[in-house]
Amino acid sequence: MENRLQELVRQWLLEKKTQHADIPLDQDLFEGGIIDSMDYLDLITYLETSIGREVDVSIFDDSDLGSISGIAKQVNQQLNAG
Amino acid sequence: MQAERVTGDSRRSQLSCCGRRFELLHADSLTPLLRQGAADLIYAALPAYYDIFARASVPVRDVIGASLGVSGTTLASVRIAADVETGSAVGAVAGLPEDELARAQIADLQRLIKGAERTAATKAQEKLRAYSGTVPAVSGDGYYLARIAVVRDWRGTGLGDRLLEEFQRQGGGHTALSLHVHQNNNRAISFYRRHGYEVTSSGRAEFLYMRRPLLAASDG
Repeated sequence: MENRLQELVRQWLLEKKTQHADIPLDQDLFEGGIIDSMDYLDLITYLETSIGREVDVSIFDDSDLGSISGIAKQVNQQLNAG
Repeated sequence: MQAERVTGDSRRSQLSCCGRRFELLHADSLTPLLRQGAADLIYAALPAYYDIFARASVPVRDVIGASLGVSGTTLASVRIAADVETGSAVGAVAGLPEDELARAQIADLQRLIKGAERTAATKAQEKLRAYSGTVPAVSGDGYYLARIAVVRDWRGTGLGDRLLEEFQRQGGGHTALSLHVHQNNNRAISFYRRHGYEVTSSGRAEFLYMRRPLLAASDG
């Protein structure tokens, strides 16, 4: 599921941030202004719609907040937590 | 102006400013009336931000009230000053580490936007993007003043000083204390300067970024 979530994040980047669709999995999307907090919320809403579950950003790990791999990992953890 | 501690424990403490007594309360000690009053205070302290959601028909005060003390939001560590005589909320202060700010702000937005209809939420996000462009970035290593508010009737009593001291006590383990203030809010800028904060942002942003370095060994 984590790989599927990474793909979804990339799909969102492809739709909304075309020039950044190929960035590395571990690159922080906030750095360099690729996304801002409103983009992040839009991405989370996109993931929620795609997986049919709500995601709570307030329990995300700050140290792994902004990368494709970090987002996928933390959303996956919430899915596994039930 | 130093507040005098009258009584206290770790969850609530009674203090005095200019002969007026107030209690400093954790969010989990609030009555429903105090929670509502605190939400009103916090809304009024940042109208340009919260009005964006209010225009999108979000019950903003309810969302703020429900967020008080909630882990992961900017209001997780909020403290509410309650007038001992009237039982009403007269002040509020909330801080958090700067390295938690981005996530906490997104969590706040998530709670606010969830109350909005989709089209209204999209419009609110556009307005928020414009609003955030007026606020300088934080440096990342300080303890950040997310909210501070004092009701008009209590201004000039020293309550604001006491609330800022509470914020500074919470942030004591960090390298610096920091905040944003509107460039036209001269009263607030003077207040923060009096407490040792200096403007460190440059450029033409509508809000200023102020910092006060901390020397961990000598600052309480």
